[in-house]
This record gives sequence, C-alpha cells and structure tokens, in this order.
Amino acid sequence: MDALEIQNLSRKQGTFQLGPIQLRLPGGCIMGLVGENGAGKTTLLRLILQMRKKDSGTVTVFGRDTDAALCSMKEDIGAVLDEVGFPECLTAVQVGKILKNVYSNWDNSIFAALLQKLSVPADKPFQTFSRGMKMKLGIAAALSHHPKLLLLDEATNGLDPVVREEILDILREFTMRDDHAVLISSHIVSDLEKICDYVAFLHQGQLLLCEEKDRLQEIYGMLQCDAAQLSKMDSDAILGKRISPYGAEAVVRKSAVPANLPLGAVNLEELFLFMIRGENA
Amino acid sequence: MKGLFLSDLYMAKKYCRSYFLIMLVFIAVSFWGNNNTFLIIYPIVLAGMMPITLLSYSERCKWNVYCETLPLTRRQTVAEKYLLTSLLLFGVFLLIAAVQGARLSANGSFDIGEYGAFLSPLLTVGLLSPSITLPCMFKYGVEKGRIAYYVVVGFVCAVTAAGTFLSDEPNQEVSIPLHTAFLLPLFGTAVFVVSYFISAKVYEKREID
Repeated sequence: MDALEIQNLSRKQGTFQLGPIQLRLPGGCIMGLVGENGAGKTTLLRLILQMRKKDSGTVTVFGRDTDAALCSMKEDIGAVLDEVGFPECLTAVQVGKILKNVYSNWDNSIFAALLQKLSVPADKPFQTFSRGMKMKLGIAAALSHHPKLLLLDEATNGLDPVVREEILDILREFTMRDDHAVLISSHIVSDLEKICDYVAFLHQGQLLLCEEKDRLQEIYGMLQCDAAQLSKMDSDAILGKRISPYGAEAVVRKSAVPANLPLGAVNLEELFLFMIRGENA
Repeated sequence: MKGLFLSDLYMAKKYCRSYFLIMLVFIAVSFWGNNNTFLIIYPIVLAGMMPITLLSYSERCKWNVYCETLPLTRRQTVAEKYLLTSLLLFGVFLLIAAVQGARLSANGSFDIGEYGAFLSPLLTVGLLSPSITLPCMFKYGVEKGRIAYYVVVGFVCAVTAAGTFLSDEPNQEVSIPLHTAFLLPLFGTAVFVVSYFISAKVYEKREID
C-alpha cells in the first residue's frame, strides 16, 4: 500500500499556482522533494497537513483520505517543520510530558533513547538550543509515537554535516520497515541523493518529475561534446544544456544519444539544475 | 487537550508569575481598600486576559503552528483556551468573593443580597473581556487581535475609573436589583459560550503559517 498518495492537489495563492500535483510514495521508501526556494515545497507539505486550504485534489495516507479524519491519522504521522515550534521555556523532558498527553501511543523510552542518541540536553530550556539541537529535538519528538509516515520540511538545512549525517542515519533506519515512509523536502540535493529512493522535482509550483532515483540515473546522462554535435541531437532528448567556448554539456535521455558520444552519469543536483534552467544551464 | 493544558501551565509558570503576584496583591489590598472598585475588578480582568498572553507566547514561538502537526482538532485548541480562561476566572472570582466576604464581615456590614449584587457584575465583566478578545485573536492572530485586547482593558479601566471619579460617594456599595444580579452572570456566561463557538468557527477557517 502507498504510504502517501496525492491526486490533483492544487492551490492558488496570489500569482503563485501550486499543482495540480500527482504523487505516490510507496511504503518502505524515502522521497526527496527537491526545489529552489519558493518552489512550493513547504506549501505542499502544509497542504498535506491541512494547515492551508487546498483548491482541489485528494491526499490519502495509507489508503485513508485525509479529508475524512486527518486528526486521528496524525497519530501515524510525524512532522518536523522548517522551524521547530516548541515554547522557548520548555525543556526536552517537559516537551515529552506534553506530547505524552497528546499522542495515544507516545513512547517515553523511545524519546529518552533518541535524546541520548542525538545528545539533546534533557533539562535545558529550548531557547538555549542551537538550530541543529532544536531540529534534533523536533525529530526525536516526531519519532517517539510510533509514526508510520514522516513529513520533514527542510529538516537538514542549516545543520552541520555531522548532525545531518546523524539525521540521515535515523531516517534510513526508520524506513527499514515496509510500512514506514518519509517525505523530506530540501534544497540540499546531496543529502537527498544519499538517502532517497524516490525524487520529486518541484519548480515554480509544478512537479517537473517524480521518479525512482535509480531509474533517473538509468534514463538520464551527462553528455559532454561540442556545440555542433549537440545541435544535431533531437531537442526533445535534451533536458538542459550549457554551452561555452570550450564545449557543451547537456543532460540528455541516454536512449537518444549516439553510441560514439561520451556519456557520463548525472547526479541529482546536475539533473535538477539542468532541468529548471533548460537552455541556460 | 491535557497536553495543551500542560504546555499552558509550563508557560504560565514561566511568563505569568507577575500576573499572579499583581492579582494577589490587588486582592489582598482590596481587603483594606474600602470597596475600591478598581482594586477588585482589575484582578479578574487580568485573569481573563492571561490566556491571551499565553496565546501570544504560543504564536511567537510558533507552538500554534507545531500544534497543527499533532492529533488535535482546532476546536480542541480553542476549547482548551476557553476552559483555561474559565478556570482562571472562577479561581480568581472565588478568591475575591472570599476576601470581600471577609471584609464585609469584619466591617459588620455583611448582607447576602448586597454581597450577591456586588459580586455578580464582577463575574460578568470577567467573562465579557475574553469573550470579546479571544475571537479576535483566533481570527486575526495575536498581532492584530491585540488591538481588541487594549480596547477591552482600556474600556474596563476607563469605566471603573470614571465610575469612581464621578460618583458622589465613591466608596458606596454598588446596588443592583436582585433579579439583575442573578441575570448578569447568566448573560456573561451566554456571551462566553457564543464567543467560544465563534472562535472555533473562525479558527477552523484560518490558515496557520
């Protein structure tokens, strides 16, 4: 069963139009939502959580429509927003006591173990925490009620590499179970490349693609040739190109590239950049 | 909802100590204050406004946004604030009632009818202040809703000050017919309940960012 399925989700806000978005996140997988600032990543996550009103579409979590009973479904959802909003005077222990009275399946032993594992001080007020520490507490809180779906909005941004790696490890461990899944938004594509099974590219509110990461690398490649050779290629096969006096680089569909041209692997960051910048990558 | 109560309790303990102190000082002083209306009304207005202060802290640290990720309905969030408000109001009201009862007994002027007539508008004022302010806070957020807060506090202060200033005998006990004394708290409670439903409705429609 899909952990998350989004059908025709759309929302217009002033001149910004998000969607319609179609997206499927299978259980046991991590999906990275990639996009530049203002692409609509946060809006999408907030629409899933019904913090903002959608214009149309449906969101189902483990087969249940969120319009029907999102409140009870949040027992199975752990969310970390771009700012972890705990009252500044609270300590991690107090946060645990509050959430114990909110979630029916809150597990204090998991929370305590995560605080210890992530070196989050239990008795210091939240206001004294660094951004990384706040995020770690947010993640510990999001994981301590046995959630099945994690929604993370820019959860690794602004963190040092060591903390980021710790968080990525936790996410890997979390999705070892088939009935667990993660949707994580970020513009740090290298992080997502490390952990994601699926990647969704969001640009100016539109989903450019949503595909398995490995499949993307099977389909697309980085072509390095000269401008004349590139001009002979089918333009539909070129996702984006960069031409300089020293040669040309293009992200292309591998199937359309003649065998004599040098074709290398493309990473997610290059793919994303070339896709959104098109002719002017 | 218990979790929300607990978070408000922690925040009140940290940020509202001065409120509790002011209320206690005013209530204590009112024992010797010879029926000074301001000393009696201000603590109950303050008690009614305390949840608004907590709402303001919640919004500042984005706790209200985080709550959107929790298995809580908006209606529960609103209900918790109204329940907290009523608990604080009744707690302070009972304290004032006890102190004023003791004062009247000590003066030898205790009369149950007058005592009831004196307390009933007090409870009504306490209920009306948050009834007006909370829906504005839930609709527009704390920044814009705060205008309603200042208007209500200013109005209550102005009315009590004007009443004391203009009265020929400022220290005379307030005299209200018994049936009005009985109806006033009922009116206040009805407004408070209607206010809850308005707050719940507007908050359910609001987009939280």
